[in-house]
Amino acid sequence: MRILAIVAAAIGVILLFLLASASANTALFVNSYPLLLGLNAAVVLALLVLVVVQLRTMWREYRQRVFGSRLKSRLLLMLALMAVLPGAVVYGVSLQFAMNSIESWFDVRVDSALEGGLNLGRNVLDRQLAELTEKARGMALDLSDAGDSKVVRATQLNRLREQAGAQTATLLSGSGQVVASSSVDTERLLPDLPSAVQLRQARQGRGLSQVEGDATAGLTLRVLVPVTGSALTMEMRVLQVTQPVPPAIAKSAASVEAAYRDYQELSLGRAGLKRIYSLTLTLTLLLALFAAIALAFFLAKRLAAPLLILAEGTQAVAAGDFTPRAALETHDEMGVLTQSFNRMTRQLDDARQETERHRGQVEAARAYLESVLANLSAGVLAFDRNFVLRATNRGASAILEADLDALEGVLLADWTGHASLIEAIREGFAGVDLQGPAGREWQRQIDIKPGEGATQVLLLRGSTLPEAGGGGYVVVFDDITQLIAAQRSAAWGEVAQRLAHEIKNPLTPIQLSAERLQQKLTDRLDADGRAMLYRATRTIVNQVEAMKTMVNDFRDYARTPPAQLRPLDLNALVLEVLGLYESSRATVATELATDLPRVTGDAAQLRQVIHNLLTNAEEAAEDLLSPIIRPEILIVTRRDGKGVVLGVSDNGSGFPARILAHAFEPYVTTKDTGSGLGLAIVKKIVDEHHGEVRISNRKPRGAEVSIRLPLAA
Amino acid sequence: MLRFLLAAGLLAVCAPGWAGKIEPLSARLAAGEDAYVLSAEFEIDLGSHFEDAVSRGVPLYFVLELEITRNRWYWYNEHIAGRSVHYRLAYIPLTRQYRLSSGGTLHQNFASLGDALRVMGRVAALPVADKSVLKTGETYQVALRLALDRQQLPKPLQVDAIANRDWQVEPGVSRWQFIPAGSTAAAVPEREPK
Repeated sequence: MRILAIVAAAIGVILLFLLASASANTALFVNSYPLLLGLNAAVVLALLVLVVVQLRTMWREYRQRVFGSRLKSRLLLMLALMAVLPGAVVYGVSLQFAMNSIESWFDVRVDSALEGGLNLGRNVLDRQLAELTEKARGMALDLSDAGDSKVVRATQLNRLREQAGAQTATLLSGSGQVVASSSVDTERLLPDLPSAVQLRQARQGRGLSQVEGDATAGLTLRVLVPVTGSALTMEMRVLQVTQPVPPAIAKSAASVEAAYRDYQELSLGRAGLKRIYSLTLTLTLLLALFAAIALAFFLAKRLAAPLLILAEGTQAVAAGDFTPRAALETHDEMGVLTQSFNRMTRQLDDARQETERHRGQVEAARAYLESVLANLSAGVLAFDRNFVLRATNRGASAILEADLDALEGVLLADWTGHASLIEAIREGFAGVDLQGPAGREWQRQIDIKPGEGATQVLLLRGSTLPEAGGGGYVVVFDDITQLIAAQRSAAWGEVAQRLAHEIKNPLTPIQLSAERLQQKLTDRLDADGRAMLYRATRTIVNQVEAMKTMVNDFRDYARTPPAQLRPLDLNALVLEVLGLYESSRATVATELATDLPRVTGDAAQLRQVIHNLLTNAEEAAEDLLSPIIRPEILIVTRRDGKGVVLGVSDNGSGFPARILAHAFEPYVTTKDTGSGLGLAIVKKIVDEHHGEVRISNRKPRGAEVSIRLPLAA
Repeated sequence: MLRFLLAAGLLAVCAPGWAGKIEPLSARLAAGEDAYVLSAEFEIDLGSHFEDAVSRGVPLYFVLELEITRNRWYWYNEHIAGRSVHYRLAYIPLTRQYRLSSGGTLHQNFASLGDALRVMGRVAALPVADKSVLKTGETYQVALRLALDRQQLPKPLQVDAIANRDWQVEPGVSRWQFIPAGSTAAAVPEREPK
């Protein structure tokens, strides 16, 4: 398209030049003038088609609101206007000028002056001709009087010619033959002879007189007069007299004639001239205009290109696309602009990527922190400065046995339940000034009773968050129930050992002394006295025996040997122990899982555990003493996640509430007899097996103890 | 100015007039004493515009062309001989005569345009080719053409001649076959087919 336009414009310019040259009367282009005209018109037509096609394309783009078409059409309009307006003005002025100057050549005065000059010339010639004719008539009269002698005629003719001052004088016979001749120019013997027509005319009329030749070759006056003979028989003769027009007159006449001819030529070709000029000018105008408009398209496109790149780039950047645009490789402002724009988008892109990276790092750090928090067994509660809960972790929910996620964004005072916790937190932070140095901490221990379960002991630590992070408070708490229990258990072990040691030592001498008393004093006392002695010594011995048993139990509790852990089948162990309870008054039912995996444990110790649990259950069930309810014991084993659960339940009276929290502590018992060590030992063994023990009351009656043991590796 | 242009254009188009025409009446080639000679007659009508132009002193140029060719089936026709005569017809306002110059040497004066045209249209005994050039019994093509030489017109009139049919003189063309047979051989001229 562009090449086409350039070629068309170039051809147009060449053709225009040729046309202008042809108009300037150069012989070379005479023949090709119509061809040039046609070619120019064809180029104009081609340019017109080009412009129309371009305009249509642009109009369609404009209608479809193609991006940038508005800018392009405005640029085009301005450029085209810049070309069309001056072009039209120059065209109008030139045309007017040309037409006026052509018109100005033709003037009535010039016309009449030329006409007058011509008439003047004609008059001069006519007068000379008349003079010559007059002279010729005289000569003819003289000649007609003259004799017939040839010599006489010749001399007379010569004399007459010299008298008349003519150049040549020739006497011709009627048939045109030269009778006598005389000439100034003696070298030329024969003068120009008249034609037959002229001769005839001369003979018939009163003679003939005319000017011959043209202005350039020289004008000659020729006069033919008839010469009447003296004798009747003599045929009519004709005298020809010629005389050249004086050179000065001839020259002037020639110039007048030439001017007249030129003027007439011009006046005839006036319309043609105007046509040439107007055609050439119009073609020039059209060529220039269309070429300018076609050029304006490309210029508009070219000018708009960098702006469009920028605009597109801005839109793309706004949409989040940072891919670099095509930059103009020019050194002007536009090129610099597009290049800088590209640089800017690149920097934006880099900055965005940097931000993304930072965000990713922060996210990762946060996720890491969250996972750490989540896997923390301790509970964490974070509050803002108004005591609205901001974050919690899984540990907190587990310890408090409540869904704390639902409380996020809730003011601490508006929480339902957890009264002691709320109270403790408030009191803890009551004395803490947020404006004070960050990291002020407090610590306290509270008892809570979440849900149905036993009372838990929590250790709360409160701290203010640094001002930089938005301030606020954080509370970290641990369930230290187990810890306390363990401490107690350890303390009891110590006590038991010392007790066993301290108490057992004097027991044997006391027993021996009582037996010795009985032996020595039996003979010395009467029957009453003896009976009393027996009673007393028996009481001493029995009580000492009981004390010994108790002390041994304590010692056993304290001195449980380390567990020998190895894989074993829990079901088999349960069945083995059950064998001892076949004679029990209570009905023992089992629900043992068939595909129970093996657990890690010490067979002897676990046997002790099962034994203790069964004994407890049996005793609890038998304590009922109710005829209606038959004592029942249910033993259950089942797989539970990564462990195995052994449950022993009875339909006895259950644990009293005051026992429930301390059931695993030594010397806590519901029974009149018994050391209260059963469950304590169970707890100790299960702890050593890394298991868990839970006790709970059943509805409507009874209690359940469940033990969770880890699977064998 | 536009109105003026329009008016001028209209005037040029609508001016009453007729186109000129040159019509061949007869043409013959004959064997002369030592050359073949042409005799021909044309009727010349200049048309209104050119008559006007001539009467205003604008010289008109005519050219009489004769070409003898021999047909060749394998190539262009062979050029055997040719002759062209240039005429210049001009009115001399000073003497009120028409002056016909032929070949640049012979000048004739005429009182009327008709006489001048008649003389120009009559060609008598114009030698065109030596006798040795044409072979007896061979067939030759002869083309004779008398036309106005437009190239010598003044430039503005040339433009008119392009644009306006009235400003044209249709050339007179005559073609015939010529077989030299020692004696004269003539043919009835035929109009060039349009």
